[in-house]
Amino acid sequence: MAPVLEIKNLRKEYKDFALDGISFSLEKGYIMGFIGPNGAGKSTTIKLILNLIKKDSGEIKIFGLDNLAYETEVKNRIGFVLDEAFYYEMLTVKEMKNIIAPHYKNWDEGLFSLYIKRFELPLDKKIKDLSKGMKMKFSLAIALSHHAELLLMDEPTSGLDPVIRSELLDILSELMESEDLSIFFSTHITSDLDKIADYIVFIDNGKIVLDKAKDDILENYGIVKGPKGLIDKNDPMFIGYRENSFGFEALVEDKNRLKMFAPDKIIIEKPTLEDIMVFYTRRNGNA
Amino acid sequence: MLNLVLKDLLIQKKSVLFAALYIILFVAAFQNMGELMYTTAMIAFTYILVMGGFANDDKNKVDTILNSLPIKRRNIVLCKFLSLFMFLAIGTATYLAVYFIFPVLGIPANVYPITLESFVGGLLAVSILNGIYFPLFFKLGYTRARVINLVIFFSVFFGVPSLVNFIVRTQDIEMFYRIVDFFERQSDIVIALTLLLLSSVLLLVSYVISVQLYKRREF
Repeated sequence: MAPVLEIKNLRKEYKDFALDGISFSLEKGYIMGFIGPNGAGKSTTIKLILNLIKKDSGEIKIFGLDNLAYETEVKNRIGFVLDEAFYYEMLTVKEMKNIIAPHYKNWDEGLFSLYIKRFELPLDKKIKDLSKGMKMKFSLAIALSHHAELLLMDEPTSGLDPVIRSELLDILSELMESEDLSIFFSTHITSDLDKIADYIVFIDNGKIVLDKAKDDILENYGIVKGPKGLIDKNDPMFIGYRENSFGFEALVEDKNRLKMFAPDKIIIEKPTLEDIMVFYTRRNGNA
Repeated sequence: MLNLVLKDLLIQKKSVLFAALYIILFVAAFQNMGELMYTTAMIAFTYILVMGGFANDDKNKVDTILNSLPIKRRNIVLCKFLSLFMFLAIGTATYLAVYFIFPVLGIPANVYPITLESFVGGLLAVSILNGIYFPLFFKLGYTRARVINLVIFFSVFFGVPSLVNFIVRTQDIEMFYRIVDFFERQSDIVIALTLLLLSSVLLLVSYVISVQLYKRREF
């Protein structure tokens, strides 16, 4: 079966930034976390998928179909939550829903009512009077009410408080119990993904730096710390090498390779996704 | 798709009332306009609501959402053109209401009737103006296009009389008279149909250009 989302050699060039021929794919039924610092190319990628901006070259296939040739068909099967709520502020939740809903072939009003109740969204309240969290929930309700098979989320948690963020993650985990949905979730708040992501794609400065199963990453990667001078800092095995007054620290892809060092000389710690992002970004910054 | 047309009313309920009130004040204030009363009122009425519609889309960045939905870009453009006709219909209905209600209320103001000439003239004027504005809005969005629109507006305002003078002074005056002569020899219906055809062609060309520009726009 074709991947739900497949991107090959995707390029988009701007004056001061380029998405540099990125490739990755997401299989059905999984959550892929798309991480990277601000300005790394996450939103550019999502906008290209939605055809909000034009690619220079490369291929985007959704459900095995070209995203431009089958644009309407593909979009009928996608739900999206963007980083901002691009709605008419003066309309009520219900009025805005009425503008959007008729465009989806499989719109399910009953399902929408369910989500409205569950998210405690006030239908008659104006969008401008909703909190940021409420707006995100409204976007999510819209995204989930037409039986989407792929959920695209661009920084959905940025600017939200921890309670709403964790509520969103609970909802997503619950949704994943049905095997029909796949989620592509971009964020720079990597802790969102620690619990729910199956795969991690890490983008930095327009290039994919890492594309692996999350469990592989967390099991194999290690942060190594030790006295200065113990290792060759130019060895490519050590990612994002840094020294301070106590010694050095660096990230390694396979902590088993550290066995050559005496265990009393070094400390190996388990990195979080955030650590991994920071070390890689540091390496690229130093390059 | 109809809901994309109607939403242009929904998002500016107050502006519609304001524009209707404007027609009433306009009629009362410009008593010597003759047949141009309807034509001018329609230019103003559609201008207020077309600008308001685009301004609201731009302010709320709604193009991003609309273009993420399963809607073809050409249909988003088409709906805007249909909104223009909707505004013209509402404006005409308001004008007719004023025409019938003023005498009933005993308001001592002349409301000139809508004649074939004034109707077709109004349609042509609205088509020309919006036929120029629309592609700009679809290319640049309201905020950036507004500056250019001002330039166009003043160029037309000051430029057209100078241009006409220039042509009359230096150029083919024969040609000018021939055109005038042609129209004088035709019946009203033929003139009306000609102008109607001209309006349709203008809007069609504007639509095709708008679609091409909007398809290339990035959000």
